[in-house]
Amino acid sequence: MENPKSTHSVEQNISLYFDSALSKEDEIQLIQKIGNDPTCCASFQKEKTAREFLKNNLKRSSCSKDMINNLRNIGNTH
Amino acid sequence: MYFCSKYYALSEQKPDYSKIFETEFLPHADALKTFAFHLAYNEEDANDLVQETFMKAHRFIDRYMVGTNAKAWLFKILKNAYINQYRKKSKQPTKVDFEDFISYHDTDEDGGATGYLDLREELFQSMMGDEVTNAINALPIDFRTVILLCDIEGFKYEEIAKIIDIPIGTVRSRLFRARNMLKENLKDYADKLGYRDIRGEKRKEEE
Repeated sequence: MENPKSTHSVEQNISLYFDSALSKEDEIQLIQKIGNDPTCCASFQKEKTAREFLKNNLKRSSCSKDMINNLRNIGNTH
Repeated sequence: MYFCSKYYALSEQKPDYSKIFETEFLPHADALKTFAFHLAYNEEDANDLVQETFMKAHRFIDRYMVGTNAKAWLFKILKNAYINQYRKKSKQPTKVDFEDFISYHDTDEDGGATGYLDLREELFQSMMGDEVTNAINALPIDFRTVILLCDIEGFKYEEIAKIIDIPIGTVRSRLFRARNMLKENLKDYADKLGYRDIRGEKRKEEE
């Protein structure tokens, strides 16, 4: 059976990696672990899929051309 | 890197505010609109928030450090504008639109039960109508905000802490809780797509 403590730490590090909050040293260690450990690799892929899914499926709103022109006009007033 | 006003004082040359506005602020208009839309649940309010954000950015452009994080600066302005707007609204007596008043009294008794729902939210949900959007919008505002800033807009913990004026530790804990809530909200949808929640199974293994 896997050591639950180490699994937790890897999952935390994977999350931090995607948040760009992992130190360079920890990032290198994590990438090495992903390459060597299939369980870790699967967790990484799962997190990656979940993040991309969220990012790609949230409906985004955009400004109309008129609105952009209005905003541009604000910038042009002195 | 320089403050617009500092640059002006040093070089005696007026900085090109229009250019700064065009090249550093305007490219973030759509991201700001998405953020505003998910805060306000309403197209009109979202447009007002974005407009107000750009007006304030223009007014205080001399406090902006050219070449720094314009996106984070603008998001902070928008978030403050949203809080002010929300405070203003909560202090105002309830406004009843004449058309709303007529339609409210035209409903039968069964229909009256819908009075408990936020109609703006209902409209928003039907417009946006997909599970991910609904799951995010079902989160309490503080949790929704960190998810939008981190997972959607890609801000770092330090930037989020500055945007919403909370310590980095609170950003981390809110994100952790928000992601767990989101997983719960999306659980049925994830099941349908074949994703399996293995957290319970892992706990059992650990025992």
